[in-house]
Amino acid sequence: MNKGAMTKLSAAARREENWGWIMVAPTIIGLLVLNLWPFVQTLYTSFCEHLGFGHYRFIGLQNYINMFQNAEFWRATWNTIYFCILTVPLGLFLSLLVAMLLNAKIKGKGFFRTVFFLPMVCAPAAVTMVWRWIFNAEYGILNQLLGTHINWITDSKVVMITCAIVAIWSNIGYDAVLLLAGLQNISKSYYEAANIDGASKTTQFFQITLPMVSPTLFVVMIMRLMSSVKVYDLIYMMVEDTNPAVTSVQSLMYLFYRSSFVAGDRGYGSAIVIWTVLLIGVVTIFQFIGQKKWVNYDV
Amino acid sequence: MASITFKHVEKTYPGNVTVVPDLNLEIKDKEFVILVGPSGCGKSTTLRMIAGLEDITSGELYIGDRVVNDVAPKDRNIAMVFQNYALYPHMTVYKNIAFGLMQAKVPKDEIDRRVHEAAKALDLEHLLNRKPKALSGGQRQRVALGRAMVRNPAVFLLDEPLSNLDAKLRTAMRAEISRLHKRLQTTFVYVTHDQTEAMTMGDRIVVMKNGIIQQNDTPQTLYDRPCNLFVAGFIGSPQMNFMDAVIAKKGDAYTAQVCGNTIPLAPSMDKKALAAYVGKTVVLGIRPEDVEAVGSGERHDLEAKIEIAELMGAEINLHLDCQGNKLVVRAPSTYAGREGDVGALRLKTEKIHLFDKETEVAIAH
Repeated sequence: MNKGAMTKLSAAARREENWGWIMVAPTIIGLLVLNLWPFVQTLYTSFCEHLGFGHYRFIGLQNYINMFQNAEFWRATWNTIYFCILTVPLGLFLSLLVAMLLNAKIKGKGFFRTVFFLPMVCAPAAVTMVWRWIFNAEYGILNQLLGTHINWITDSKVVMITCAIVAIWSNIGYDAVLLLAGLQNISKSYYEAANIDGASKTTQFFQITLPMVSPTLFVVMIMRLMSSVKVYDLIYMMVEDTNPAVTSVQSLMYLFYRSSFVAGDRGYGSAIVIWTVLLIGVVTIFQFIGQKKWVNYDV
Repeated sequence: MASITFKHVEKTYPGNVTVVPDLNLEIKDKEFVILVGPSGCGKSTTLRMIAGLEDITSGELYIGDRVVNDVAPKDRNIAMVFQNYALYPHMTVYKNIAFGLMQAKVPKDEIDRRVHEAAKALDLEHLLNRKPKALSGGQRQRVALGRAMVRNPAVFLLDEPLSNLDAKLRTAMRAEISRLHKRLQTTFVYVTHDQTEAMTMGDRIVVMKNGIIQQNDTPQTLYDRPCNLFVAGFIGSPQMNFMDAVIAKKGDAYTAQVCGNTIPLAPSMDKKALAAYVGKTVVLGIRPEDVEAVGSGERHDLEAKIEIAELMGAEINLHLDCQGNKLVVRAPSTYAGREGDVGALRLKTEKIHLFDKETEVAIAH
């Protein structure tokens, strides 16, 4: 009887497992077709020379050798890292600041939350166009306000900072909303207990807020870093191909676009993509190692 | 050590929601006072006003001789134990207990001494390096108490500290908190909605409803002489039985007509008060243990149908129906009546309480 019961149970379990597979099948198929297969194709293409009309010739590591010998590639790699350094820490800091302000007892909280989220619902192209006018060296409002004559978009020393400002501005709203959700999960009683204990606002921030919002902060940081390494559209919209400062701001993805679709060298472009994926992988691994030191999962 | 005095204290939240309209209360030094009442009665708000976590709309709050309306929580020399304990989850037990002392810049060796002293008193020494999530509910509760203890506060504030514990642990912690009060000799203000906690722990109980103090007295007085229907119904478990009764006078003696039966009222009752109610309907209250379930052949006052008999071990709680009046009677476990039977009931007339039907205020006990 025991054996019978067990067989019956395992049959039920098997049925449940089958249903599980059926339920997750659309996602898995989607991932395979839309993500994994293109990745495998890209990986293969990176070892090939594109002959045109969909024909490829296997050339081994030649694309990678060319890539590593190309100063423009190293410049693009540095530009990408520099862009991350400029945007991620400052962006996270400002997002957390905004989230904390939106979480405070202020009048018109709903209005401000909407205002800060607004950049997320605007078309990036339109947003960039507006920013280009703001940064316009001749007629831009920024130079007029500052009383300066800075070539925000064409000066190779400034253009990356310009792009970073726009990137930070565009992402603050979204990141702040995520962080706000994290902040709202912190029970009020911790702050009340800390008030009774005599902890100052600064102590409360470092001893309560920061450790307790750290899991959300970590997720936001990973997401922001990944998207910063992949930055393309913002720079493309801000800085045209003909801009003399383009090499100072050209990211890896921008270089990939130009190599693959402007120069038509898909094999070389694919090698850049694989390099970028490796870069994201390494950065993410380091983040996961580092998080043990500062992210707190105790609740 | 400190007394606490509320003088015409009002608490109104934005949107004109008045939770406490006019509170006057004095809590003596070293006293263990329980604020009790149903949800939303303003007891927690009152406690939080003492802590400084809620602003006072008007009136004055004294801790000792000092008006503390505008004094920050940290400067009130109080400690609070929260319902959810509010232990910092990322800190060890040691750091949780030491946190307040660290903020007060107490020297490290003194912190260490006090933390270990509190941990020893609360049997937490072996848990000092653990984080709260690795502790049981009772252990977390003790850490919360330890955190309050080390600061040597003048006033201990406890906001429903046992409500997250299971029944067995709650009983144990009840005794532990009472012992702590005796040992620390500090003013304790304890908020609960559990009347058993209120009855067993406090020197004095303040029963609140809609932000208004209903009665402020010792547990025994509250039980024996409730000032109105609300207090009578709130204190005691199972709660007091209430039935409509008409007061009559026969010669010098007063009687109450209940369910068609005449019940003599105890001569000790206030005759002056009763005289005003002759011929009027009042509410008669009697506690379950003050009604005896007797054999039908014996002298009895009422007869009622047994609807449910709950065996509690040492006794049976009989739920009865007496002409539409629902009664609960505590009978010995040897009682022979079963569900569906008609039981004969004899009231301990000296334990009867009478209340005005309109104002719900006690007439006589």
